[in-house]
Amino acid sequence: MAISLQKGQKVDLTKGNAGLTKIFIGLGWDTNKYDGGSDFDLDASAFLTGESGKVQSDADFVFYGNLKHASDSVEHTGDNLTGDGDGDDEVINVDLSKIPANVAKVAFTVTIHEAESRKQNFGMVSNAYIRVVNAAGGTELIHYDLGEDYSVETAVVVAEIYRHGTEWKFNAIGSGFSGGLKALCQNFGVNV
Amino acid sequence: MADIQRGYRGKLSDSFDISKEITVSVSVSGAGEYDSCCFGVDAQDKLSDESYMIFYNQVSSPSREITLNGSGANTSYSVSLSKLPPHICKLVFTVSIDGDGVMGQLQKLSVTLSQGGNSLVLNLSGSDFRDEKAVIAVELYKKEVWRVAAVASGFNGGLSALLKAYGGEEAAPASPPPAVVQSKVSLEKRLEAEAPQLVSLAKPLKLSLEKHNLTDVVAQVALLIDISGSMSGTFRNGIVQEVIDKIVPLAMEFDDNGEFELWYFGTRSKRMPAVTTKNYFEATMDWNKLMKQCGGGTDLSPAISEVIDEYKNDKLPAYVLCITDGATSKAAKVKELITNAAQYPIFWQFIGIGRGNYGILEELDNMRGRKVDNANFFSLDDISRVKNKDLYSRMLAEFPLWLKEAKRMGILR
Repeated sequence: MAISLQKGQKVDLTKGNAGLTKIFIGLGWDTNKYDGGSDFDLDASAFLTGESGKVQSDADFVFYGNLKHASDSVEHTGDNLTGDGDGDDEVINVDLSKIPANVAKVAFTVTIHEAESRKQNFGMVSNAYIRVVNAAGGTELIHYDLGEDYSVETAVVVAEIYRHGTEWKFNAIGSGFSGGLKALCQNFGVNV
Repeated sequence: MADIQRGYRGKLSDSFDISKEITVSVSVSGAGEYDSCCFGVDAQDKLSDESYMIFYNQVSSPSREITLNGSGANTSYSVSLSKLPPHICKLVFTVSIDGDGVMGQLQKLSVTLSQGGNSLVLNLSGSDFRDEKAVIAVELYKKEVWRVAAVASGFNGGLSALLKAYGGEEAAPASPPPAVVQSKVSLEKRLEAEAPQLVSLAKPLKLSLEKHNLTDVVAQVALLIDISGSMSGTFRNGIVQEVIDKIVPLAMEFDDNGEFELWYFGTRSKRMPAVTTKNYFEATMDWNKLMKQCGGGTDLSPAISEVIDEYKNDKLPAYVLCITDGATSKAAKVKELITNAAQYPIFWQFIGIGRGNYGILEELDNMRGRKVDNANFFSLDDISRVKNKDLYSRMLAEFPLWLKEAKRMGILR
């Protein structure tokens, strides 16, 4: 049974799930309700940061333009995933055992592509969620529905996993930003 | 007052006292004809309870939790969220375009939520849209608490797409609104193809049909026109032809085969070939000759007898429109025929167009001894000056009442 989280809630990820190393992060949303206006293009990304919350190199930003981290620990599977990711719009595979020691957190974000020119924001996105699934067996471990609190933001830091001693924990952050992916990159110290 | 933008979401209680009435005003300016509608939908986003579709044809919900004031481009809804039944979880305030045009062309769309001195205002313009013909302006919805979402997104398919989105597949056959829109599109298209001169009649007719809940009625259509001597001027200056023109789209909508029967009546009656989109423009061509054939007087009884014989055993209802400029002779006989015809599936709509005395026709509403009230009369000083929308609306006002009553009495199945 997955744990459903509220915004700001932190829970253990590995503690109590002995041997958990390979997980995938599924992100989903509904935008297709209306056929008028521009199409929505939402992108999921991951930022691998140090204690300070900043990336140590631009290569620690995993997104549609850099699908796989050099360590093989984080891999963005692109848009068209089938199989276990049923229902998820985008999936990021994470191998906790391969995350480099200097990475303290991995933040997962969703941004709206060309939000400004298409006049789109997260208030127009519904039923957004993130879930953490045990890649071995497909059990959903954590589920966080972003709920109704998003409005005119164009980027959301959905959640992060972070080291806590030798364990990993999950933090349902859910904070929105204006300014899209660019603002997020600045927040995480990526040069764009 | 606070401006909100598209995509805004918030808790209503941050701005208003939700135990009290909130006013939602929707105003649109632009070149098109706009209609606003509020759908009260269930937790599955479906309009499972049609009494919570609030629009010009149903201006209040059952317990007056939602009431509509105004119409067209300027409407406001009074909403008491705390009084809504539990199955109504979301109120969707929409704007749709009737006829041509898209939302990308509108000048301004404002939605104001207000209570006392507090308000939330969403201002949109054409640049916020593209080819939509129907948009959801704002939603008030309950997710733990009542919230507001400035959706401002929509459907290129217009009202029909909107109704499809909220209609719920199961309920589709029972809900008349989708049929409205589908046939509207097709009537315009059929007219364009078959009688392009009459295209402008499609919209006013459709509005009237919707207004009177006649969009899915199938009926025989017949037109009886006075061709007595006093009608000469009306024929000569083309007014009779105009009237016939106006019945063509009505028959296309109503009639089982898309045409209507035409009788002229003077002293005698003359049945003409059925009027279709292929021959309607010839219907008054020989009026002079026909007038002589029919004699100079006005006697409705022969034509009425023929119409009764034609339709009395029909399974479909007959909508008979009769246009005359004066009183008929043989009034007692006409009265008897109409009284007796109340047992048949025939409805008579008389229209007086002569500023005169209409004799027996003016007594129709009070005529006793009939199984149902099967006839209606109204007069117009100048039928050529009445707006089509108003003409259709008056022509069709009593027919649905009769349909209902005739069904109840077993005259119609």
